[in-house]
Amino acid sequence: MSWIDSLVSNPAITEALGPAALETVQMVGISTVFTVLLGLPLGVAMVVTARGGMAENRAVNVVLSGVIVNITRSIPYAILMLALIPVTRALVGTSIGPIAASVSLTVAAVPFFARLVETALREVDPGKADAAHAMGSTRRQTITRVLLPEALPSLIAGATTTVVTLIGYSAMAGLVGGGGLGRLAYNYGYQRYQPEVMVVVLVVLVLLVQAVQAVGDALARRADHR
Amino acid sequence: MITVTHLAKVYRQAGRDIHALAGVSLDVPAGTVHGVIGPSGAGKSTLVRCLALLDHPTSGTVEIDGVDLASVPAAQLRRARRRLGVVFQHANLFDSRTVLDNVAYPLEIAGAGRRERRARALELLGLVGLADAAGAYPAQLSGGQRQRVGIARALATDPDVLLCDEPTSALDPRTTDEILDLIAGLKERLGLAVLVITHEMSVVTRICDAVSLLDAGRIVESGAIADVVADFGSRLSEALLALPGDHAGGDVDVLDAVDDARVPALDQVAAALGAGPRIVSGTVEAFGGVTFHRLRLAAPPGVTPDALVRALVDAGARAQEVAR
Repeated sequence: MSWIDSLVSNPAITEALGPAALETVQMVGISTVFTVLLGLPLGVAMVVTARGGMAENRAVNVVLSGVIVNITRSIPYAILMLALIPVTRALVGTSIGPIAASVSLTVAAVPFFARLVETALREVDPGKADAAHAMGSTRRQTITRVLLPEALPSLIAGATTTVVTLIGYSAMAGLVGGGGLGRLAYNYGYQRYQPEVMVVVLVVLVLLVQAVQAVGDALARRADHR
Repeated sequence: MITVTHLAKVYRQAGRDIHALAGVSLDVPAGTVHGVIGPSGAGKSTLVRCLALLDHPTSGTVEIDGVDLASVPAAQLRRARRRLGVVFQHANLFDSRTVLDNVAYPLEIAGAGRRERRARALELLGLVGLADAAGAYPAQLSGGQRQRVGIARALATDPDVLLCDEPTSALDPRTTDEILDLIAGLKERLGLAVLVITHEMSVVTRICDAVSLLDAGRIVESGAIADVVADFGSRLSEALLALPGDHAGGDVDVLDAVDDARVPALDQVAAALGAGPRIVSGTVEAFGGVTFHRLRLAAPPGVTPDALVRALVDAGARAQEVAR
């Protein structure tokens, strides 16, 4: 069987590729939603409690930035996903499948995204926050109506980078039962030595990342009025 | 009106107390522009931040219509701030909002309805001559236009006091004049008390009714502009009536308000000394409706600077020897 024939006849490609791609999208989708929901407030809290911030609080800042974010970020994902298996079982009842994989993906991506949120907010000219305060804004109004909208293009860029990173992590998660394109490539491309499966999975991943980046860039451009 | 009393700000830095402001008092009545001028490092930025309550002063009061912003609790401070509009050097507009939404922001956080916000913002944009730009984003505007939007935004809550922090320092000379004329016009129209913090003497010359010199955290000279200029030998008088060019060889300065200069002093001096002094440099400028002139003279040969000063004073002029 030639290479080309295999592309259209190998069931790993004709039947398993679609569902595997969907599983990857599912994993990345779920973990992206939770990463933004948790990482955005975490990033805001790190900026607000930092020295010279709106609600300077050294103790809270050290816990958030120094302990939670730095420690989580220093654990390689391959180890983090294994270490979190008991937590995943407790949360979703199983450690197998794309939903279970979303737990460790989210835990890994939240601190990553929170750092990007922190950087994005720090890039906003402090004069804008001054202006907001001088006009009588509450802290909440300054954050939600000024800082976050002003940082929106950078936040979108950060979210895009996070999604791309999650796609990469999701392939690793696939190896320990998460499913998706990672498992397909590993089981067929590597263990059964079907290089055409490996190539096809790579092409799909590249296209996926390109699509995510293109959409992210377009959204960021649209939000950018500078 | 705004009354600032004994405003002080002490920073603790590297174990030492830095007295950025050491007791500043100012009084700006409605319908006047008061300039605070000073070299860099004098405490201008700290003064602005304390007046706008962006930093809390260590002691002293900032009273607007009898309410001391420095002592009201946070929730009331947000309300009280609406009496004070702040214009920033770089306008500090929100890039994510249209010009209209920038001007409407203070009304938005004050809880005004959508229709009311829009109507008021359009009215304010008309006031600063930018009604056409309502739908544009700040990045599409020139520096002068951005500052106009900043002024419109500062006026949105109908304040009694306008605090301007280096409002023209980032603008070219022509735009500077336009913005200053706008501020002066708004002062007249709206009866605002305007406080302008600047390092540019031309701002004081063009729009200020009164001026204070800030140095090392203190007001070292202050007064109505004509009085300050008439105070011969003061730093503000020297700066406002600056002499052009190289002053080498000058011995004696003469200062007079033209209205007072009925006596042809130089003629009399020339007659008294037997020779006329040489004019080295001179400047003429109007302040508060009074035209002042200042001349730098060199004594004729054989006449000491001291004798020249005496001859000028005898002739009814104000003169003093130039310190070397």
